[in-house]
Amino acid sequence: MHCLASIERLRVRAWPAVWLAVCALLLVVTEPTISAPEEIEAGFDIRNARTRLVDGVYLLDADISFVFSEAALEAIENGIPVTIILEMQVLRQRGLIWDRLWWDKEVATLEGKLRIETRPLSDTYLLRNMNSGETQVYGSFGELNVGLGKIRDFPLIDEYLIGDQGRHYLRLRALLDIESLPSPMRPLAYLSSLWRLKSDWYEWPIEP
Amino acid sequence: MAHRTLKRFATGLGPVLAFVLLLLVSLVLMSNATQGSAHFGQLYSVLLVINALGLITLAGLIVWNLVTLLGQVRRGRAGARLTVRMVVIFVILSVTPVLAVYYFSLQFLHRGIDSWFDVRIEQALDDALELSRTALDVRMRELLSHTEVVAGDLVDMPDADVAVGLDDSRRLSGASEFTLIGANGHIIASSSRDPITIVPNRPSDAILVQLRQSGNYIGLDPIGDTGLHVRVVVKLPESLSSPEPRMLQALYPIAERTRALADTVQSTYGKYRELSYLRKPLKTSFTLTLSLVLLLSLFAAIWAAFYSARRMVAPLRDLAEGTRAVADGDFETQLPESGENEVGFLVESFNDMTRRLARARDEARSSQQQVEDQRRYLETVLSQLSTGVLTLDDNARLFTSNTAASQILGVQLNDESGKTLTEISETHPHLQPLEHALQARVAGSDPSVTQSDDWREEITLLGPGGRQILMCSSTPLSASGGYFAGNVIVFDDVTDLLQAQRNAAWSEVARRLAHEIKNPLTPIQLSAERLRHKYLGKMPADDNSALDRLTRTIVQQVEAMKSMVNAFSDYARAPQIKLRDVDINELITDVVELYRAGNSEFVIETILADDVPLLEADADQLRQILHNLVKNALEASPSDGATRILIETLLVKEPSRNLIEIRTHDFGRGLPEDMVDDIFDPHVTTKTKGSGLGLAIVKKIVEEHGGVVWAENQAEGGATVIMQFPVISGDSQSESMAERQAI
Repeated sequence: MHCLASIERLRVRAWPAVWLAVCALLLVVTEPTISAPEEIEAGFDIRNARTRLVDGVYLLDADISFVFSEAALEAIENGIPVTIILEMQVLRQRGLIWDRLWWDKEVATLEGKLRIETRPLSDTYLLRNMNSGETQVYGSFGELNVGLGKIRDFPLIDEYLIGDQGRHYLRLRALLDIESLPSPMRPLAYLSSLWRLKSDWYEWPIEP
Repeated sequence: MAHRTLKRFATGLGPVLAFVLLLLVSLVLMSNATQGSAHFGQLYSVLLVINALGLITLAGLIVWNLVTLLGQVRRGRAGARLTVRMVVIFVILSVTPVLAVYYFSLQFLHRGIDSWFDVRIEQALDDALELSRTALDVRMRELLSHTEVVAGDLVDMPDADVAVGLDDSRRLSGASEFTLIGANGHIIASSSRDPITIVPNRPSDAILVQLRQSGNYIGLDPIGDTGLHVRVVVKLPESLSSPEPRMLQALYPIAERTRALADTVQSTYGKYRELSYLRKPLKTSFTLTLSLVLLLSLFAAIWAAFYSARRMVAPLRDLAEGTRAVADGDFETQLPESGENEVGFLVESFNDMTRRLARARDEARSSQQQVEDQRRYLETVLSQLSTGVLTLDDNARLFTSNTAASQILGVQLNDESGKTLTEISETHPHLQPLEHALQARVAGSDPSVTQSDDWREEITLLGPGGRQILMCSSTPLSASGGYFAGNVIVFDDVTDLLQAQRNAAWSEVARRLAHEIKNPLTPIQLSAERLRHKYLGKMPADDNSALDRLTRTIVQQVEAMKSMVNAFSDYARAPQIKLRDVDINELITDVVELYRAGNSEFVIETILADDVPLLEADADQLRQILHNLVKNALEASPSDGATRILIETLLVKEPSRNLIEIRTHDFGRGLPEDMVDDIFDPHVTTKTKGSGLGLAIVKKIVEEHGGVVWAENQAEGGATVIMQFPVISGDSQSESMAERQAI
C-alpha cells in the first residue's frame, strides 16, 4: 500500500517534470524569438519596386530594407558567405478577381542571387551578383547594406515574352538562402528563426 | 491487402535489409556532405530529411513489431514470452557496445575538431594577414602620392589635352587604367592599358561617399577578371580652366607574385576563420550524423533482434501450439519443417509422433467401434430375451441388466446400476429372497464368500405382481488375465410354468382317480343295495342284522369314496374366476357368522383392520378358502377343551406395494415340523379322515389370485395359516388372473 502510494506520488510529481521538459524543448526551439526582442526586428522588407521598359527589356528598380539578425551578422563577420535570393515571378492575370492568384498563369520565374563576402586583407565587404558576376566593394557592412537595398536596372524579362494579351503583374520577395550556407550550419539554420529571413511578396502591375 | 503488405515489409528480411542499406548509403553521403564535399553539399538538407524519415519509418516498424509482440504476450500466444526474452537479450547485447562506441566516437570527434584549432596557427595567420596588409599599405600610399601628383598635373591642363596627359601619366606610372570623372559622374577622359576596354571601371557610390568625406579613396578591389587592383580615387583641386569638381581614378595592378601571395594569405585566413566559426556547428553536425548512424545501428539491431527471435522461436511456438493441439485431441497436426538442426529434428520427431498417435487413435477408434457394435448386438439380443440377465461387478454391484430382468423383478434396474443387491433390496424388499440367495454364493457380496461357483436354484419372490418363482443361475465372469470380474446371473420366471405343470399333474391325478375309482363304485354300491334288498329280511335275525350293517357300511363308504372322488374332480376342474371388488373384512364376518349361529361349542374371534382396502377377487372362491381354513382350524382344535379360532386381517405396507394379509390361528397341537412346508400339497393331511385336498385347494385359489400362503407354528401353541394378497390395480390384477387361468 505504501509502495503504491509512493508510485502515485511519483506519478503526480513526474507530470510537472514532463511539462517542464516540454517547455524547455519549446524554449530551445523558439528561444531566439523570445529571449531576444531586438532580433524580432530582423527581417527583409520591400519598400518599393517598379519596372521600367528600356530598349525592349523590363528593368527592375527596388528599394529593400535588409535587417540581418545577430547570427547572420556574426556569420558574415566570420567570413561565412551569405547569399540573398531575389525571387521574382511574372504572372498573367486570368481571373476576374485579383486576389485569386492561383487563377493566374505564371509567365516567368526569375531568381537573382547576391552574395555577401568579406575581404580580410583589405578589410572590406564584397557584394557579388551571382547572375552577372559583377562585384561591388564596400568599406563597411553598413555601406554594403545600403548598396544591397538599392536594386537598380536589374534586367527582368524581354517585352516580347510577356506579349500584349492580358494584364501582367510582378511578384518580388527577398530571402536569405539557407541552402548556400555551409552544410554544418544548415540544420540549425532551418530550425532557427534567426536564419529564416525573408520578406513578404511585393506585387505590382507591369506597365510599360 | 495494405495490412498484409505492411506486415510483409515489417517482418520480411529482404525489404528491411534493402531499406537499411539505402539508409546507410544516405548516411554515408550525408557524412561526405558534412565534411564539406561540394558534390553532396547541395544534397545535405535533402539527405538529412531522407535519413530522418527513414529512421522514423524504421522506428515505426520497431514499434509495430513491439506492439504486435506485446499483443501476443497479452493473448498468451505460445512463444511470445520467449520472444520477448530473446529480444531483450539481443537488444542488450547489441545496444551496449554500440552505445559505448557512440560515446567514445563523440569524445574523439569533439577532441579531433578542437585539435584543428591552435592559438599559434591563428596568431600566425593574423600576423601573415597583418604583414600582407602592411606591405600592401606601403605600396598603396606610394600609389596614392603618385596619383595625387598626376592629379596635380592635370589641374590646369585643358580638356583637350587631358586624354593625352592621362595616357602619358598612366604609361609612366604603370597603372592599368586612369579615368578622369566629372562632378555628375560622367567620364571626361580615360586611358586604359587594355585597348579593348571601352567602358572604364567606375567607382561605386560607396567610394564616392568616402571620397566626399575624406578627399581620397584607396583600396584593394577585384576588377573584373583581371584580379586584385589597387584603386586610388583623388579629387582634383579646383582650377580656373575647369570650374566643376573632378576626380581621378587610378587602377594599379598588383604584381603577380604579390597578388598570389596576398590571395593565399587572404583565402587561408578566411578559411581558418570560417572553420573556427563553424567549429560548433561542425560538432553539432557531426554529432547529428553520428547520432543518425547510431540510431540506424540501434534500430537495425533492434529490428534484427525481433527478426532473429521470431525466426528462432517460430518452430518452438509451432511445437508448443502443436503440443497444445495434441493435448486437445487433434492428432492431425503437422508442423512445417525447420531445417537440419536440433529444432528441425525435434519438429520431425513431433510430426512422427502425431502420425503415430493418429494411427493409434484410428485403430483404437476402430476397435472401440467393433466393441460398441458387439455390445449393441449383445444388448439387442439380451433385450429380446425373455430371460432376465444381470451382471454384477467384482464388488457385487449391479453392472448391467436387460429389459426382461427389470420386467421380471418389477424394478427399473437401469436406475439401480452401481448399487449392491442389498442396497436395491432395501428399497425393493420383495427382492430380499434373491439377495439372500446371492449373498451366500456370489463373491464380493459378502466378505465370507471369496469365490463364486456356478450354481442354480429356484427362488420364490412375492413381487408387486404376486408370487413369483424364479429359476436362477449364476456363473462367475473372468476378465482377460484370469482375474475375477464379477458374476452373470440369469433367471426365468417359472411361476406360471410350475403352476401349470403342477395343476396339470394334479388335474391328471384327480381325473384318473375320479375315472378309475368312480367307475367301480357305482356297481359296488348297486351290488350292495341289491344284496340288501334281496336278502334283508330273508335271513335269520343275526345274519339279517349283520347284512344290514355290512351293506350300510358298504353303501356309506362308497358314498364317502364318491365324495372324495368328487372332491378330486372339483380340484381338477378349474372354475371360472369372477372378479369383483371384495371387502375382505365383510366377507370374513359373513363366513364367521355362519359358524357362530346356533353353535356354542367353539369361539371364532376376529381382529379386522379398518384400513384394509377392497380386494379384487372372486368372492365365492375366497369364501371357500375361509370355509376350508375355519373347518381345518376347528378340526385341528383339541376336542377336550374350548375351541377357539382367531382370524386377523391387516394391511402390510411396503415401498413398492401393499399387501392384504389374512391370518387364521388355531390353538390346537400345531403342525408337525416336517409337514410345515408340504402341508399345502394335495393329499397331505394330519387328519385321519378327509381327502387332504382342503389346503391344496386353498393354495391353488390363493395362487390364482396372485397371492402366497404358508403355515407357521405359533410359539404359544397352535398353527397359523397366513395368506397375502397384493393390492394392485384392477387392470393388472385382471390381466394377471387371466394369465393364471389361461394356464
